[in-house]
Amino acid sequence: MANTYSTNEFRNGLRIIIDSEPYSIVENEFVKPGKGQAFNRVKIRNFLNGRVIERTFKSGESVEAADIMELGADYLYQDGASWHFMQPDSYEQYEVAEGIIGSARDWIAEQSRCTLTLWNGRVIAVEPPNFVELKVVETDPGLKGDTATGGSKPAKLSTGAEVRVPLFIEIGEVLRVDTRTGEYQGRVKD
Amino acid sequence: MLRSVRAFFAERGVIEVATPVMGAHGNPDAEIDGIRTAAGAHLQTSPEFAMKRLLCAGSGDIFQIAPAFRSGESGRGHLPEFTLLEWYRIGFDEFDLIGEVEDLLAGLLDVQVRRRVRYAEAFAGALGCDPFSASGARLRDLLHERIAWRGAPPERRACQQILFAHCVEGGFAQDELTTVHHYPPEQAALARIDAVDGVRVARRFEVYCGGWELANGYFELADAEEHRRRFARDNMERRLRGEDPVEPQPEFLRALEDPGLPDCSGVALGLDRVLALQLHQSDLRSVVPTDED
Repeated sequence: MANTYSTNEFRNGLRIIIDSEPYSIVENEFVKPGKGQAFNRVKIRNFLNGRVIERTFKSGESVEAADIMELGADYLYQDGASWHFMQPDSYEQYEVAEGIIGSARDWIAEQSRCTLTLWNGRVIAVEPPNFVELKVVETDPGLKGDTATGGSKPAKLSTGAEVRVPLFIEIGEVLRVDTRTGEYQGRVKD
Repeated sequence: MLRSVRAFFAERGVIEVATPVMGAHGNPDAEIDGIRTAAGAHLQTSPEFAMKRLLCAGSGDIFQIAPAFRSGESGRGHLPEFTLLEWYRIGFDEFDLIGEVEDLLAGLLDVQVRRRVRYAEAFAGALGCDPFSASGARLRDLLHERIAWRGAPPERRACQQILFAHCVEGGFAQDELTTVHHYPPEQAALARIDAVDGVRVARRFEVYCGGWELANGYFELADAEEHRRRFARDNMERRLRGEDPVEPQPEFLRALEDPGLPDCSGVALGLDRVLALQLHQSDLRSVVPTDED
């Protein structure tokens, strides 16, 4: 018998199984008429597709716990359709199919410390670090000394991602980028 | 707030009482779980039984500001220990008492608009279905359609309550007092059930404001035998859930038989919620110094 959680253990971040898929509770409200049935109204986020849905449970009901684990792992290399990561403490390696990597591919360079989400031991999501430092491989020639006019242009980074950068940025420079917004943060000085 | 409440009742000649918080018996209500001390005593889930005994003994109009304890109730709008304002008015029916609750709340919350609506009307307005005549199957279908219910199918009364809480209450204006009356008989709790326009209705009401249920009142059931039947049904539900029955106070049932409960209406009002509304807070834990997280 799998682990279960009763509704009175519900709290934000708890991982549960609904309709055979893993979810995380993002909001839990205890609702009870003064004279009447108590229930919990929850908002839950699906780990597999990120969608948030609402569900209602009779208070006291039990829900299957999701065996979800998150760990930090460094990106090693890509081989065909597989991406390989290693957990630095245990040296345990994880192979991740390209489809699971999703938009994280834009930000993952060698040695990037990513967060892997495992469900029943299988990787179901990969998150890049919040900030990465990547080299510019393609952009229009920089306007020397123009650090003030505030214009911007596209630049292609070593991972293939494209970001808007200030006009003075040149090929070969290393930039700091926020992976959550895809925004340029600044130049990294060597 | 407490001073205004006491002034309100002083003006109306309603006397303040204090009754024991702890006793050898609890509340059989199948939807309310009490809290017991290590020695086995029951902490009151509301002061209703003790106050009704005073009414039987001839107290006349009374009010009390009392702590109430309910196990497992914890959240934004619930605390396992909370403060009830409970009062009883002799010779009032539920509509006389609704008027008084509105007067009190209008003063405490500075609310102008007062609306009253029958349970059936409010329910049908939001869900297009009459909760009194709809079959259990129809209510369960609505539960699936409207709120994607997945758990075990609840019985008829729970269906009504879950649908009401999800689809009806949210439509009440936040800055108005909305009183719902004429409840389905299966939700009578300890209210009288009478035929109104050929339909049996529970003479119970609930008052809502600011998205919260603030008060629950009855034209009080006086019949001792009917009390026994309802308590027995509550305890049957508890047994079916595998819980121990909770026996009612024998002194309460005896007082109902002799000298008997005078015709009266009573209401319990959650003061913590009123305070939260006064202070524009959406969580009781912001206005009560509790150790709840």
